[in-house]
Amino acid sequence: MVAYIIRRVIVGLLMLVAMSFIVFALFMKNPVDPAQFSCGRNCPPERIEETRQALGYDQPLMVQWSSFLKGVVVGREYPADEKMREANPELVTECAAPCLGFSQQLQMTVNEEIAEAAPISISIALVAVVIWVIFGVLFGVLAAVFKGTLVDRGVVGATLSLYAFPTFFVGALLINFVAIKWGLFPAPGYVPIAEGGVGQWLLQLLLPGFTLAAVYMAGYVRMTRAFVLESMSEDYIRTARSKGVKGGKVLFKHALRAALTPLVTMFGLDFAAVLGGAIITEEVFNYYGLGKLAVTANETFDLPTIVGLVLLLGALVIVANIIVDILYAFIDPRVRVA
Amino acid sequence: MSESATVFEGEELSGGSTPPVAPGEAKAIAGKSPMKLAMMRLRKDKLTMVSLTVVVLVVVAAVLAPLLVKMGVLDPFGYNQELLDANTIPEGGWSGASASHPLGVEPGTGRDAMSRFWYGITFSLMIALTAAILSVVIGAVIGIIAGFSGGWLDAVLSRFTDLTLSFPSTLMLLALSALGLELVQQVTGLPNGPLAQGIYCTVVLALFGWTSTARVVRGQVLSIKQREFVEAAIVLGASKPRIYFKEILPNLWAPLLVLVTLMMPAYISAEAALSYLQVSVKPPTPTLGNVLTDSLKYAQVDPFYFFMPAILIAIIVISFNLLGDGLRDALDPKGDR
Repeated sequence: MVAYIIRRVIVGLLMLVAMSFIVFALFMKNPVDPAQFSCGRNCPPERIEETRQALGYDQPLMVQWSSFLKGVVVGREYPADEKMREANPELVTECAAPCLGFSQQLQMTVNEEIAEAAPISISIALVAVVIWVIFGVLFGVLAAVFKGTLVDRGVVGATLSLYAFPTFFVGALLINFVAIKWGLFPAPGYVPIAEGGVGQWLLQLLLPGFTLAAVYMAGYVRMTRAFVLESMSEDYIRTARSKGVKGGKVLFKHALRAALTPLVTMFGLDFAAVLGGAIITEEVFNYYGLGKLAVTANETFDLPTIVGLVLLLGALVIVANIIVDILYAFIDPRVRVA
Repeated sequence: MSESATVFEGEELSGGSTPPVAPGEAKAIAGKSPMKLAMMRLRKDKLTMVSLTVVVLVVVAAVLAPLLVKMGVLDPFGYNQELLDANTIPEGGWSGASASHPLGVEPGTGRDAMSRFWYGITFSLMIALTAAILSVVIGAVIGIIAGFSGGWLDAVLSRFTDLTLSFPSTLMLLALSALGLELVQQVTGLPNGPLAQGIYCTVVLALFGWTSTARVVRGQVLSIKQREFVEAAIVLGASKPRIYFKEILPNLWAPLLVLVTLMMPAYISAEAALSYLQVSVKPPTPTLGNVLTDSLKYAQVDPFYFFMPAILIAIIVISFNLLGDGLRDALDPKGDR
């Protein structure tokens, strides 16, 4: 077991390193000048050169990449160019580990930007996850129990339709009709818990949470339905039934329990993905989370922020993968030897 | 892409449940070929037949649209500002629907709404189909090589698949747009226009979308390579490419067909999400995504125009999804539903 965990973690770390290299190669070695892409739209030439030095883009790719990795592990200082730091000591910014980069335009570290935006993304993700897991599993079980009936078709059909409408349309629909026209919800705008309490915070997250959950719900309904149906046909369910265990208890204690394992795997990866910012949802509702930060950075040509976000989100998914694999190995011993 | 799919957050292909199994293992009763059996099962499945009909209609519409535009029957680009009121909203409700403009006209410009939706289907399907075929080709090649060779090559390719899957795809599609578009223009020599934007959109969708195919194909190949005909080919000294593409690939058409069918709706949604993020084909060229994006501005003043493209996308996405599920059931010899 320990050997399996160590092997899994090492593979994960190697993947992180590989991913960071691919991202650097993609963004630093291509027809668009990375310095210009970091300096903003309509940036004068002398500023571009200054940005190039400040961010170390004048260095070879391998040097840039290794100083980035060093920054992640032990932290680093900006500007990247030593002469620049000596000439302008007032410009020097300390970027503590894990340093994900420095936005030359905003004169702040990417970590600071992420720290500002992350609570919003995490809030939306939490609310969305609760909605889609509860309703997804509940509807999935319902559909399985009433297999082949109107209930089954209605549930599967309704969630599939919800999935089929583009996310930004669902969001716009909720904003324009449910919130503005019918006034059932306040106009969208994020309210931190510290300002409005939990009630206000939650109220402002229901619409974006539902919008994000709509995408995932159909998948969970399908999966739960399939897994429950599969485990309901297993021998141990028949055994439980013939022992005289009541229907509801068979369903929840025996069948659903077996179905939970694959659901947990799916859940781990999806949660990591939404934690890193729901780009479309945040853009529609105009909530300044990590997704909106990425869109803004792309619009204003702020390359360091984009690179930092890509690597953060990639790392989240890789780490979630490791955790899920290890959990799975705990639950299912057959995995360990594979 | 996350939502979209979220896309694109929801870009993940619907399900991921049991991979389809190649036909050929069904015990033929009285000489019925697996193909015939599949067709029989398909015909009995009413829902799938309905979705197949819708898909065929959509594809025919997409193919006809450019001809109708050439003939002047559809006019997705002509302005009809005389149909708009002082606030550039179509007069007369229902987006100003009339005999000459059955679905009304676009607010702001007065372009014929039906022409724009219809022509948009053509561009969206073109992008989705090309991206789906590209993904399946990349995924099949990687999956066959990984599954057949095993050992370190399999380990490397499988890890590479995992790595690709770990990239935040929506964010990458967004962030790579400036660079990708520039690259497309340099490689192909095209100007920055709808064609270059379409190529960028197609290529990046495929580059991040082949992973599911690779996994399914690898799993299939692992079992196919145990079969006698593959062993026979190896013993006879067939070359690797011959074994990959002449012996193994023909046995994979059923799962690949299902994968393409299920990728289509995912890519249509993804294209819409990319349009919303301004990184797909840009107006005035209509795609389902940018028509819908444009309609968001008029949600309240012209609800008909707001709902139409969304409903159109939803119908197309649902039909392809149901067709894919139905095909999977019909082609799966184990499925006796």
